[in-house]
Amino acid sequence: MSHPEFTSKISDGPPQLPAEHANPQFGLIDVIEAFTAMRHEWRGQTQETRQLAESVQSTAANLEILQTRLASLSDEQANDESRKLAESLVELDHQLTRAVEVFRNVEARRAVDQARRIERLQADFQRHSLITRWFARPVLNSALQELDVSGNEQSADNTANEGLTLLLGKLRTLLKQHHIERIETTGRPFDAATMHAIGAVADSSQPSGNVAEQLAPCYFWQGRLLRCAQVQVAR
Amino acid sequence: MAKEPIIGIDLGTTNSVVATVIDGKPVVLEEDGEGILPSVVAIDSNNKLITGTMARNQLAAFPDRTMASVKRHMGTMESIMLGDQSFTPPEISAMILRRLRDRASRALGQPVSRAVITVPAFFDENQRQATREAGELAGLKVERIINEPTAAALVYHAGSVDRKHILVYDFGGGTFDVSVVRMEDGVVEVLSSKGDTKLGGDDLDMALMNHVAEDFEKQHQIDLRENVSTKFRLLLACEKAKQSLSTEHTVTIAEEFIAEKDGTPLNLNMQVTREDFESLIVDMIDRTIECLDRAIADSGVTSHQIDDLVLVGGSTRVPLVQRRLRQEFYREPSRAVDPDLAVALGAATQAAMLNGENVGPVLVDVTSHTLGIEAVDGSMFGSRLVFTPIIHRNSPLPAQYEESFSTMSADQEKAEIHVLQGEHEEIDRNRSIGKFVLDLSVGTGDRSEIMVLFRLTLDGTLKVTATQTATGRSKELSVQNALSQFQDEQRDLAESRLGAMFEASDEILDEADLPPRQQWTQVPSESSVSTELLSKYPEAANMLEKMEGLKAELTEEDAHELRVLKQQLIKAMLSEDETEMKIACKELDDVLFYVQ
Repeated sequence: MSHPEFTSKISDGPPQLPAEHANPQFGLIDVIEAFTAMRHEWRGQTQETRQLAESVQSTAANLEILQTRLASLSDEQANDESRKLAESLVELDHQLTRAVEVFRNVEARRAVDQARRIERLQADFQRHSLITRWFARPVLNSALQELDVSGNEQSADNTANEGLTLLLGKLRTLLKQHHIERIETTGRPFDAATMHAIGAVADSSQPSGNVAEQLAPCYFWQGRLLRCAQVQVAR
Repeated sequence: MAKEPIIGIDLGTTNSVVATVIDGKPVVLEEDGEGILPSVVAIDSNNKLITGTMARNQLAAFPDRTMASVKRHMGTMESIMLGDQSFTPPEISAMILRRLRDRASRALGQPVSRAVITVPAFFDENQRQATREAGELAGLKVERIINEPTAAALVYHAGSVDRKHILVYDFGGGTFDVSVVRMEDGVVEVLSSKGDTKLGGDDLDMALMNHVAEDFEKQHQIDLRENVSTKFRLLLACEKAKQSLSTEHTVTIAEEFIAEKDGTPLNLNMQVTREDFESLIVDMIDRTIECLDRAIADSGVTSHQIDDLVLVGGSTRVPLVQRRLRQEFYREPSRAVDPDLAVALGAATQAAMLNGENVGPVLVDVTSHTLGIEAVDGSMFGSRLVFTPIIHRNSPLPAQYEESFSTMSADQEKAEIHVLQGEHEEIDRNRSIGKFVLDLSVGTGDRSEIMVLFRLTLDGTLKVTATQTATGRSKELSVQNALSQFQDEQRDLAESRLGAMFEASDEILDEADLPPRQQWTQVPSESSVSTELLSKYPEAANMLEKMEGLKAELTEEDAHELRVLKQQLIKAMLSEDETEMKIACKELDDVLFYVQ
């Protein structure tokens, strides 16, 4: 039994195709059927591709939303925390500045009082006769010594004041590092955007409408208003 | 195209707020992080109009060109001078409303021209008309003027159809109002309203300030109220202390170098307990309760018929207010929504309803149970153990509250803190959620006070800290899932117990016998789409109609695919999700093209 293909190869003539391999006879219905099959296949593919593309797209969009939300949340959170820190720093600055001012005033007043007391003592001493003054010299010396002791106390206060001032200096450096700006308002025209008026006072040293007394300064943080100044305005 | 929003405005005496409904939720519209606008207008040194915080900033220095509390003048046509110009009360109100309108436009990114504005229930027709005119002058079409208590009631009960009587207790910064409101089938009616226009949170601050100043005067013979600057510092400190006393039992009012005597600087350092503060304000709170009783009497309902107590205004945060209301009504007041914003949120809810939007009540996380500890209740007839609430039911989360207790005897060495959850005075009728023992240090001096602080987070973690005040000795207990009905170990126990019972039972199906999951989900049907929706979305309606026409010609495979897409489209229509609708229509169009 010979194989038909083998037979065809050794024969000289053109190959004789079997009946089922003969040129097909295509009708219009066959074309439509083939087209319908192709269409179904294409539809299936495009639908799958489209679904895949859509799911990738929606995942990407969701990721983007998530990322933006996370970023804004952490930004907001960080901003809130930083703001609270900045507010605490300015409160500390305000209190420490007030403490240093009070210390300075007390110190200055003490120095004036001391000088007055010595002056008074010496004036009183001079009112007496020469003999009385001669005999009262130990009393004067002891009184002056006493005043000297209180002068030493004053120098201890000076050191404390100096320490406070140094501390304040460090705090101001820290404020600068954190972009916090302190703005003094005394003498400036009242500005409702950055100052909160708690009253009006008669003050001839300031033009009417300018700040006569500052209770608290104004603070800016990163260029934005952090805290309004509290002021009394000249009438 | 989206509808133009209608905004809700709470035009208050001291502060004003604007809100709107976004995605079904009422939200306050902010400007630079600020939701509250002081109801103050002014002319600055350049003759320019300023409003809000800036105007309030200049009130004390330039009262001749600044106007606050204009609401008190509404209904009159008296002339109000701002610098050298004269205005009527509606004109001044219009300036505030215009600022709020612009705030809303900026926040929403679109022009806003329609609003619902709230007014006090006692406002007469003249006052309401004046408010309406103010809105129009501000460039707003005033869709409705509603009562403030109505707005507050809507925040908690929007969408409710049952007949309800709601008492709205509004204790703001400068005024007090109480109203009884009836809600039924979407109709809200104010049955009665009483108030005191000269009583507010500012009076509470003043009472505390006077107390502190008098104490300081006793010690140093200096009245801190005489100097404007000192008085201002003291008032600020007292206002802050008042706020802290809402959650803390004791606060320290400390102001360094507040005065000088004989050249020596003086500091203010004073401790104030909640009891001290409450004794100072109790008469004022009693006045509000008298108003409340009169309002109930006028309304024709009894206090037993009141279904809810709604708290509005910042002063309702004072624990004494809440305690007195609990005593009067034997129920927990609703205070989950920020009381400073509730009226504006209610106005926004009403505005959205007018605009055809579906809005429910504002939902806020609150504690579902009262949390407290076991303590001895002593009276002349003896003593007994009772449940003492610390964080009350309906408190907004996160919640924090501190209460003071004392030991039974001076030489007590231990204190057991037994934490309970429930609503009953009898210990056994509540659920125990944990206990711990605090070792006390015995010694000289009064060591009896023990502070118990409860802190409840949004995720339901409760931290209980007990501290012996005199020594600072402290111990903490942390309870996870304090809000759930079961504790972890109890839940495990319950699960295993029930699991065994289910397994043994012939009635209960095994997991494997359960029908497939999809059979349990509800499939949206075409009949669930209203004619209104069909006419609202013609493209989708057309697609559904087309599909119906081709039904008979479909192969089984195509029919299945179309069924899936049809459900997708109906679902999108029901949820009015236009994007999903477009996608479904496009896909349907594609499929219909092939099958046609």
